[in-house]
Amino acid sequence: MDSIEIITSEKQAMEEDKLGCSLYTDATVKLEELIANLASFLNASVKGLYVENAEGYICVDKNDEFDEQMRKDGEDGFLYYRYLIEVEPNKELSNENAVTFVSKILEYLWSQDYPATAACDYEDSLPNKGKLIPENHSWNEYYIWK
Amino acid sequence: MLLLKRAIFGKPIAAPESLKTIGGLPKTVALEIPQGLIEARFSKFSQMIRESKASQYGTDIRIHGSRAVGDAKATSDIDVAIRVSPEKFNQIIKDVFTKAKPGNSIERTMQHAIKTGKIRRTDLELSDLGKQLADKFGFPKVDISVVKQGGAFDKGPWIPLK
Repeated sequence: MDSIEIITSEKQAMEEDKLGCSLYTDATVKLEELIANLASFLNASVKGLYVENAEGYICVDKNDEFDEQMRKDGEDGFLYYRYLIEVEPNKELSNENAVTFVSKILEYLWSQDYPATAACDYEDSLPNKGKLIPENHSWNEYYIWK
Repeated sequence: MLLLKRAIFGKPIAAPESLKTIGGLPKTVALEIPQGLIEARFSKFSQMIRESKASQYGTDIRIHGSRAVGDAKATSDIDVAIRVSPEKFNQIIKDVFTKAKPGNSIERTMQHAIKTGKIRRTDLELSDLGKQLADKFGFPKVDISVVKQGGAFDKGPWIPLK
């Protein structure tokens, strides 16, 4: 009975979550290349800064608060990464599939060796809670959440 | 002189790229219609925003940035600010960052919003509106944010929505 109540409570909590998720990434490629690579990875169409497929759309843009020094400065560093990717899963997706969509993009960025951190209501449900993972990457100069 | 001409002759046309400053000083006067729109389209643009969720946050909604002063490139965003009082800003912070807890990224985002006096469109659930406007009016991106009066981003020149 207790476990059913917990599951119900978690489900209700997720239903209240905003689906949109901000992914901050310090990718080292140009904006156009980042957009093209993400479109290829997602098998999606591109219109300007937008990349869209059946799972949702993303808007990839330069972070207007990018700061060469601040991006490596403590817990707030991710807010100053070079790019901001706004992810909007399709409203028709289940919560689990929406999380899967965001997770897939986040893991893609990590696989390219780009530092990336997620900020959204369900970040605890993302791989490594959406934060930089310390293993196998050359991110030593960045802040790694403990 | 350009400022004077604008004052005398009313609605200016978009300034060329070479005129980002006047006498070495930043431009301080807004156009009457955002660069890239004509009056009828600006009215429709304004109507879409006023009839959307954006108006729940506030009714003092203005265009700012390069599209307001007329030095935008074809690739420039159009920036929309919903100006609110500090009290209203604090209330919106409480309403939209419900999942913030010490140590998580959304909490860092919230603290940053408080520090800068600006809440981004993703946190406001206005991304869909931004995309619809971008698609309909041909802008690369329509950036919509809540801006605290007196905060760092509370800077004109402004063009109020119709």
